[in-house]
Amino acid sequence: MSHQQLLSIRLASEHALYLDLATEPSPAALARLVQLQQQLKQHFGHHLRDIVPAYLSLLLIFEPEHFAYQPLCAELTAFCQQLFRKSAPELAGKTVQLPVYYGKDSGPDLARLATFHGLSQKRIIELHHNQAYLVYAIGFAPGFAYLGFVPSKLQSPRLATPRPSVLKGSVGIADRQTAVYPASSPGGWNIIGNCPLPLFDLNAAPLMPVAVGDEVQFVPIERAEFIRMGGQLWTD
Amino acid sequence: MDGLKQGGFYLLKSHALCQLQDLGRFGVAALGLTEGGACDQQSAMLANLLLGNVAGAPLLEIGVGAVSLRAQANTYLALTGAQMPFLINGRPAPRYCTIAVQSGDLIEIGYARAGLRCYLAVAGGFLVPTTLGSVSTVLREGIGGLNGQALADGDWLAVHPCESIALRSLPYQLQPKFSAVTALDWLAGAQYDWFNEEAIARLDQQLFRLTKQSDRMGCRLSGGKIKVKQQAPLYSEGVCCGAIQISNDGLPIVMLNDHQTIGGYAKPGTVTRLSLNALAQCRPGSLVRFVQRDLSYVQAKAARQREWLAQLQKEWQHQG
Repeated sequence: MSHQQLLSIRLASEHALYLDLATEPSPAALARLVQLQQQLKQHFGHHLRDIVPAYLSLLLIFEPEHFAYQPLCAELTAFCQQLFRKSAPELAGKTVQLPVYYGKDSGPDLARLATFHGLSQKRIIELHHNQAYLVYAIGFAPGFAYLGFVPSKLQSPRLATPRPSVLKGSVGIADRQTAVYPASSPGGWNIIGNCPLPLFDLNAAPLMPVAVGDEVQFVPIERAEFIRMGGQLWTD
Repeated sequence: MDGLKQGGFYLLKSHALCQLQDLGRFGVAALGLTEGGACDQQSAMLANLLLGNVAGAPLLEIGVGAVSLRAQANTYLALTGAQMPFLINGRPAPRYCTIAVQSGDLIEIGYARAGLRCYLAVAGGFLVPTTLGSVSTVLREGIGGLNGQALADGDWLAVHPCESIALRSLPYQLQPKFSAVTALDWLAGAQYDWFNEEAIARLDQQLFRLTKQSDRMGCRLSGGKIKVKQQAPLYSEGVCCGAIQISNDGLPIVMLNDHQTIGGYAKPGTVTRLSLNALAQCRPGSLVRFVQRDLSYVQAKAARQREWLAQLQKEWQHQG
């Protein structure tokens, strides 16, 4: 299986490289990615400045004085060979439930999406929360988790013109992905609801409730419950 | 002067480009937090070393200039980076030099004459609490500095109490210079093979101009367009500081310190850290050109620079 081997190593900078683990995202490839992320962190210790998992690859950023490319390639190839000889890991991440209020005052694109797909709003909402999603990457902004993948009936192109400001907590769909905006920011995703829980909090430990490899299950809540939890509406 | 605090500096005049920085915030990129830190890392390190500080002590990055402070402590300052008029109580003071200031002194930094960002360090570093291991201000994330913000008029910056230190200076011939066209060394990498020979030649052979849309996230360049070969869409992957991202419009953006941590645009390669220091001093309208290098050249140059800084630090410590 393609996710059972190291496909390639690419130079990223004078002290960084990419490890490619798969050509298409899958739960199995994601499990490998997370396993490798954790083990390489331990293996390299403080020589590794940062490690960024996303979909198919890991970006490894080293301390500049500890980056010898050819020896590192050999070391990483051997490390992966040995690791991948063992049976494929299960996704060991946690499942995080995120409450979402779906409505026209929390999801300004809900009605348009329903028309676009020829489905009722109720059906759009059901399709969105009837399955769990995996966190394939975190980026764009602190705590912004890319969740995959929405059912094909829900796949929706990004807005032609991004909004200058999307409300904090907004739950959006872009192409095959869905996500929650952890903070107010510009954005081009189709917004169908809002999650009242903080997705990134500098004063919390951990800083965010999810990590790459975790599972997210959206749980629909009523407007009153949403308000009680401190949720904000677009009309406020 | 009743009610004024002692043991620090008041900012009398500030703006969004006057920010507390160090060498960056690391280890949290997987959460989507960018590295931040001084865009011209070498100038920042030199400012600190002139004062006997550790290279990454908290200091001010001042873009464009036009900042003034009032000393409420007897301490030492050093200013490096862009050429900006530097006045203590109205009298010109030298850059790249340890300068003693007394409580009550007025420190004024004028508009940059050459370069874009200057670095003002204080003996012992500014006393600022760290957020996730760094004081680096990232405005987009609302993290670092004082409450996640740029410095504002009236802000108070505490400093460590300071004993007398040796006065040091960096000779003019060793100070970084600014040129009309800034050469950017870059390394092939990432999606290099998504570009044909012609596209790489266009990148290497033409001059690009820095646009006004450039900021601490990235330097957006204008020039002849770079074509990406038809490819399957790129799944987002981690992005490094210095990555050359070719946008949908065919124009390159060179990622600076506040870059996003992942991205889905094709990247032919990455500008080296040393060249990023020079790029960080380019103003909108400046011309840059890309010069492709191999890894051994780039690493040797970086190692020489590290040795030079270590040597300077050693010499200056002996003077102290």
